[in-house]
Amino acid sequence: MIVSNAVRYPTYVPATVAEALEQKAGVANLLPIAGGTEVMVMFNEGLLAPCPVQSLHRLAPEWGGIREAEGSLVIGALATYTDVRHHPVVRERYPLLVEAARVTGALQIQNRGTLVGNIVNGSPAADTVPALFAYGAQVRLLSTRGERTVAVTDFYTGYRKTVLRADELISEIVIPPPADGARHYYRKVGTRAAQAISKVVVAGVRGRDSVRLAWGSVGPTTLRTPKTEAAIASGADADEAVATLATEMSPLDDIRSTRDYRLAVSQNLLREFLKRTSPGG
Amino acid sequence: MKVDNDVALENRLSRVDALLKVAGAAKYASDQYPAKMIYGKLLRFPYGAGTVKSADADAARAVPGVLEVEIDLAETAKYPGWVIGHIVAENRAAIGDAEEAAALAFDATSAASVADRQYDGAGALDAEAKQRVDDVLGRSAAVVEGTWRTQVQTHSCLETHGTVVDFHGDSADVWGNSQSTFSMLDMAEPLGIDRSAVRVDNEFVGGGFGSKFGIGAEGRLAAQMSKKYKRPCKVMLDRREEHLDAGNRPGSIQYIALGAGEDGRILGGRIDGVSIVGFGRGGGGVTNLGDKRFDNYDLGAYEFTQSEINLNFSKPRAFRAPGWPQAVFALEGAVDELAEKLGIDPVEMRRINYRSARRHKQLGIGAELIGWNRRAPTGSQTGRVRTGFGVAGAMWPVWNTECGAEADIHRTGQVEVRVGVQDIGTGTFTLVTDVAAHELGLDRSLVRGKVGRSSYPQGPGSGGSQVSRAAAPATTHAVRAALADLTKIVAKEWKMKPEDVGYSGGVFTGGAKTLEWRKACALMSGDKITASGRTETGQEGDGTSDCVQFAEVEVDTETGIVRVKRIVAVHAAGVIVNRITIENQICGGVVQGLSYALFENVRLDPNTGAMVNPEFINYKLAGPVDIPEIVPVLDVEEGDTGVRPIGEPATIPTAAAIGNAIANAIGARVRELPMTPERVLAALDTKGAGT
Repeated sequence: MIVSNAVRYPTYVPATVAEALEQKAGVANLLPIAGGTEVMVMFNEGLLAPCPVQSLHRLAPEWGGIREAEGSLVIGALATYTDVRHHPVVRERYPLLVEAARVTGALQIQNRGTLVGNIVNGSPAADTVPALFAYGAQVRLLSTRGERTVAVTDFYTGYRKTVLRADELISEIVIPPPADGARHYYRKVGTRAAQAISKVVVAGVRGRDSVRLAWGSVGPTTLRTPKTEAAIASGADADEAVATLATEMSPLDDIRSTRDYRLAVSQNLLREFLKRTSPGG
Repeated sequence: MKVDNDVALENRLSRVDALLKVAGAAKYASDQYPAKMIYGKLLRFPYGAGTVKSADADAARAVPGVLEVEIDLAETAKYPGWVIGHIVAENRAAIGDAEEAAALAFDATSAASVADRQYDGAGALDAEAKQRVDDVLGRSAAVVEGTWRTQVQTHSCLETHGTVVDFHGDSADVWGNSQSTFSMLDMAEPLGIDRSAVRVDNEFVGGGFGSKFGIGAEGRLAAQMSKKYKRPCKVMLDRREEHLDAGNRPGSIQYIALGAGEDGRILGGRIDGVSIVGFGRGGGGVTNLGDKRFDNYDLGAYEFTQSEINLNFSKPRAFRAPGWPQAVFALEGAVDELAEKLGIDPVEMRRINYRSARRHKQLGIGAELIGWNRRAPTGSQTGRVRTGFGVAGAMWPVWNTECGAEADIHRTGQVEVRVGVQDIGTGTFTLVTDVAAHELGLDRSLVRGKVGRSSYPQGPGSGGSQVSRAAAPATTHAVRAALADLTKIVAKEWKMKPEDVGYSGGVFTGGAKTLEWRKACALMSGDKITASGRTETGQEGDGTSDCVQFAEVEVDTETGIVRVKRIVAVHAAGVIVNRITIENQICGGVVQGLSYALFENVRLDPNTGAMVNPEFINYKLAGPVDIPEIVPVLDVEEGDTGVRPIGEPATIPTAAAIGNAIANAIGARVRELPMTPERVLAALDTKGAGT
């Protein structure tokens, strides 16, 4: 198919959050769009099955901002990568998010695309999700039935599967403050220097006595490596940590890379992480 | 006197069509929307081989706006992208809906999708030849033996193939994007009219690289449907079709065994080139190494054999220097390995073995500009990021073709030159304009060059990098003929013989009299003077397009990622007309070569034979951030004649130079394109030097 027929995608444009939630509850298969950087590409390629679409753009006053609340950072569902990159608090305290937003797509994509969109599409190669894993972010879900909050690490249940229910919308992401003195590490390895889906992406935060590591493109979902984290926290050296990583990471061959490459590079990046975030370093 | 010596007019003016293109005012075939236009789309088989199992053509025909649906259930598809039918509709959305309604289902049968499954080593030699190879390798001080592989690359033209045909009963207008304006006259056949009744507008072409000759399946469908429905019909391929069935550079498996003496002189050996081609032949194998006309290296006494492996993939088409980038990648890699074994610097190794004195000089220029003295011994670095330098060279022969041109001098002083050849992005508009302006000594603003219409004088297609070479002398001839006519008018006014009237730099002179260009033009009784000119074979000048390229790279040994830092490209291109368009061509060739070296790769599913990356998400081209500083250097010598080819040679040595630079950086060689991070890391591992 060379082009999709717009007539077959009836569009809903809620003016308020309440209206958005009512639509989401009442219209079957309603597909929300924020920046549209994923959905519109699929539409243009003829890969989007006809469905009703919900454009969230009028909710920007409520869901568009980034703010601080009780020491945490709150990123609204309509905040773009560009918003994230330029927000002073994000730049000061959450460098992994800045870096992840920087390496996602092109500037045009960053101006349109939203962080929440990156979460909700469920791609294991999403570049911002490892950063959110590493910071222990929470995802806030709304429906006409009420509100619930889920840790981003519990949000994914399998390849492109999430706990999001049919009547729910993500309203915001809440990120607790990183520990004082924590060291941050982010690295994306793609096919080319920019605008490439990752072969491996890693985000890590190392505090005085804690380590959080999150990996993208090496499994069916973004994943943490708790055994490796524990080994590092208990003082394992680089060789031990790398050996531990191999016991709990089992990447696959796909069009972008191979299992061997992903594992080898993950191990190399783990060494780099340890070097860069070493408390004495 | 040779015409070619008279186009020595090097300038640095920007392209005459730059503003049109930047502003979107240049109208390509896909921009044409004649009234009442209908749209056609080819339906294609998705897998390596098989048939259509079922299709609901009636449901597709029932979609509002659909005019016609044809699906051939009897057709046996032989590659992904094989045409199995078509849809014609009032609009593009209806085509999409009809395709969905057709609910095509397929039976895939087994397909050949993995070249290595058919490769069983270099072809057999007869006993005598084998003995000759053994002898020469036996007396060599160093021998390199190995197998190099290159991938299938698609042309990936920015503007996909496509045509709009408006049939009028006894004539037709055709908007195309062809590399050969005049090959579009082949539309006459499906339209059933005379070639002279076809008017082709082929003014702007969004890249071709060898893939856009002839009318193609898309042009044929547009012609048939325009004729049938008596309405204009547009058929543009989409990106998927473009990858699947609009041309590709064949892959290769090349076995090379070469020996050299202590002094570095290559003594000989053997080269076996296997081309990995799709359905049908063409596109150039890796045959050019064996063709001694091409004079790249003195390889001594060597045996050359070649064969083909056929995959279930579309037919190759000529692709920017067909056969050369793959052959030069392997050969220049092997020569580098020989140099390494002998302890000879790679630049010196090439001075010893390149036949061309021109290239010897270019080696010195390039080495200095890239900073070759910074090159560390191969494999001596230990850091995470290692820097490497590499060099490779090539040449391109010249072909001479007849070409016509027409020039008008208007009463207003304006000049118009028309040449039917096309501008596929190379700068033909600019070339024609600048040659005419130079010849008349006029400011460029007075001159308008027009190209790409079949109503203009005929010239060659854009193959073999010959268009500028042919169009420049033709333009000169036409302009001179028109000037001679204007000179007669001035002579008549002055009551002198034309041969007593001089002309230079926009001013006529005769005795003490002078007359400025516009005033001279105003003497015309009519609106304009028109004259024509032709390039006859043999007037284009001599010489080949020799080149060397140097690459500086950084290799991250943690990830295997290669970053090209700098490419110095030293090229002889004969007489320089417009420096900016030539430098553009060189830079474009380098970018395409870099993209070939590191990224591009047609991937076929070994189970179904489908191409798994017929898009630009997973078929990666080099992006802006991957493109390094490129330093184009034009090697011009006193006595150079002719406008020489540049489009093709510019892309030949790039992948080889990058490959050699990677080997220098990490002390391990990647003998397969593209040189992906996976392959670089694996090479490091094999060497035992991985981090």
